[in-house]
Amino acid sequence: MAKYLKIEIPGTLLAAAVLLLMVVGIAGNAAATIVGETGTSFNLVARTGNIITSDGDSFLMWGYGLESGTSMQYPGPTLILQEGQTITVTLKNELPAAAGNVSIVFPGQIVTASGGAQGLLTREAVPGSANAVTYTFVAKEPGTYMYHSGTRPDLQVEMGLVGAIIIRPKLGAKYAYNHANTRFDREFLYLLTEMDPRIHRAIAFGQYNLVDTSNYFATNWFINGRNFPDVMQANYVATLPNQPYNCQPRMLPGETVLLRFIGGGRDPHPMHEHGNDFSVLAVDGRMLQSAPGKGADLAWMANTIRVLPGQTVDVTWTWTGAGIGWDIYGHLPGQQLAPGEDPADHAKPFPVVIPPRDELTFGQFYSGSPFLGGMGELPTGHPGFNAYGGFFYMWHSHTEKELTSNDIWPGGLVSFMIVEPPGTPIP
Amino acid sequence: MLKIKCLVAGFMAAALCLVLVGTSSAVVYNLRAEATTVTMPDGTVIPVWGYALDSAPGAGDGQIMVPGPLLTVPLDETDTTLTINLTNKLPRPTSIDIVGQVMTNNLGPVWTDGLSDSVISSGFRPPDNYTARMRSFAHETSPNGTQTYEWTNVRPGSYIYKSGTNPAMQVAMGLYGGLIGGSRYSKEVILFFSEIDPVINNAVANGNYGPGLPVSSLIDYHPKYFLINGKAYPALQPLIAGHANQNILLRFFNAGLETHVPTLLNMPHMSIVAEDGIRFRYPKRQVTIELVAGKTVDAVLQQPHAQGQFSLYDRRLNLTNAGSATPGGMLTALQIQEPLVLVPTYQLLLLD
Repeated sequence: MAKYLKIEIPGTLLAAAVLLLMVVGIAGNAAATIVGETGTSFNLVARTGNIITSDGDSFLMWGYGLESGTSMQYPGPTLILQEGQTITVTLKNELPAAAGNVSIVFPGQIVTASGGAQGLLTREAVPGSANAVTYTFVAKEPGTYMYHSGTRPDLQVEMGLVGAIIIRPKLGAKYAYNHANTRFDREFLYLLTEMDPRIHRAIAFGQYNLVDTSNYFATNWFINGRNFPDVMQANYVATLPNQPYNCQPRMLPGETVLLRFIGGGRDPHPMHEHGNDFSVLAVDGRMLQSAPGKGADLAWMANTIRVLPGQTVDVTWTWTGAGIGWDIYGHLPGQQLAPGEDPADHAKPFPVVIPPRDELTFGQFYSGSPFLGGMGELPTGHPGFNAYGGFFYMWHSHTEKELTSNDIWPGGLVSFMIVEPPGTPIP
Repeated sequence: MLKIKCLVAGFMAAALCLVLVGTSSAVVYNLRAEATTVTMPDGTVIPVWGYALDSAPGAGDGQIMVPGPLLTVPLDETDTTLTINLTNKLPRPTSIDIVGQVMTNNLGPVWTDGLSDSVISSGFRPPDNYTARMRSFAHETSPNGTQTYEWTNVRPGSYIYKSGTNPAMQVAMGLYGGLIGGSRYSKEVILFFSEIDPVINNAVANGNYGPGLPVSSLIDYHPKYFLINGKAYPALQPLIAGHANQNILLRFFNAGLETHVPTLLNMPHMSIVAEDGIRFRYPKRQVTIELVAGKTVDAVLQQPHAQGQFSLYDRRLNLTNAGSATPGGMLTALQIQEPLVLVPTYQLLLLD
């Protein structure tokens, strides 16, 4: 078989397959969690830097970085806060002088700003690392929020000055809000942005006069600052030094996951989940409740959520295999249920006679077995991205052109939820 | 005739003033549609079509505006009818259409033969004619003519009136305005969003718009100016909204062709109580408002926490005037005044 492959696959394709392997790594091992900065005091600096897109390009960005570091990041640090705490964020401006002032606004928070210079929407940090502006607010209401530049935001948000805020409720870290029906087992961040590369090229060449944000036309789309398949890489991977955050949802059957969507750019994105419907819990950090204390009793079900620019949406999703019509574990009659298994389909046979291997096309996420946790024989050259025999569900934008990175497919707003078999270690 | 009613709830300071236009007779407005120009903050002069409120049909004494004058129908016990006498000083036929309100004397729609401007039918598609095209939702007012449009059972809430004739072009030219059914609330703010693509407007004004002409349609509509209440920043001054301990009603309208996302900074959230003039069973609490084309949204700011200016902008970041590097577009501020000494105890009557 190996000899067959060597004969039939042109060298360039083989190289591309190897490159994809390097880019994706072993997806099934990437950490599935929200990472960021915790505390009550954050010292940020606006800096320039470059990011890498999945089509192999790179772009000049302006981004928020930690003052303790030396670079910017895209998106800015995810600030993970506790309800009720008083938060202080300082900002210094190390952007080139031509970029002008820079600032932060915190939609949904009541902010007091001091230092720096008065700008249009808030106080701004003037160029020069000695001059900081300080923003303070009380993290009053739990939920999902964002922050972004309030200085010429039509340019500066596009250049990368945007980040996520999570305020954890007093009820506990495994709750989205202060109500028992907002409990989750795992949570994932979907900060959605897009890019018009012409603007970044113009800025990179110092041709600020060529920037016309009224002609905005995005051709690149990002989840947490990365395109597919880079979103499936590990957090803080060294090959993406200014794009620290992944988006790799993983879970065990029967768990409830919380997805925190943030519209960080300027276009709406209809995000669609395969595998099951989800429940929309909250918008803009407010539970969908009929009255205080009711929890998210007005939550509604959908399989596509339109994420507006400037808006946040929290949804919960679960999966047990219910309704699939066959036993996903391949149990025989009399065998015990697996943890989280839906009993209705227990011991129901797989409805398809699996053809011989030579008559199959193997997707890169196929484990070689149709059963959860099953690991079958794979042909030589298969990348083996499915480390534990999980089920991969594509979660993506339903504006299908956004599944590209500058016209290269696949890219853009795609990731995969991996439902792993019971017992799989998920960091 | 202007009449002011005040309902007193508990304290004199809590008076809820309802400004009503007209008395026991049906509300009649004499609108005139006419071409004019608007000047953008960068000095660009753009031809537009707008509406004026005249004292009598054809009087010509009102000022042409974009958006057109705000119309109200108080909807008291004897008064649920709206009559608009439309005088047309445009070079093309035009009409009035209100999405969400049922016109009760509509003699349209108006059909052409699909090849020219020749009108071949009104009120129905000609039998067995599959090439006829509808030009107008309602009966038309010819150039220099006057026609009457009537709604006998006006519904409460916020609505948009606009041209019902070739609306793709005529609405883009500026023929739109706000209509409020029911009493106006004394502490309310009108936020009317729209856009201008000067290429379209200049083509229409110069006779270059239409089939076979340099600009054939709105297929290449790319707005360059983004307006609230007809103005782009910095021409738009902060809007007086009310006092810090009052409930303030924000009425959002979008007569543009694009989705906008009004966002209010330094406020916890707004309570969205109605869309398209239809009340929600429960308010939606959001920082952002999805204001799609042709939509109205009513939102309440519940007793703002402080006085001062609060920036309101389009989070789709249409914050430029034709690509200018200086701030522009859909950006304004709400001016919240000092708290009243006595806290009002009323609710928003029109929203109950």
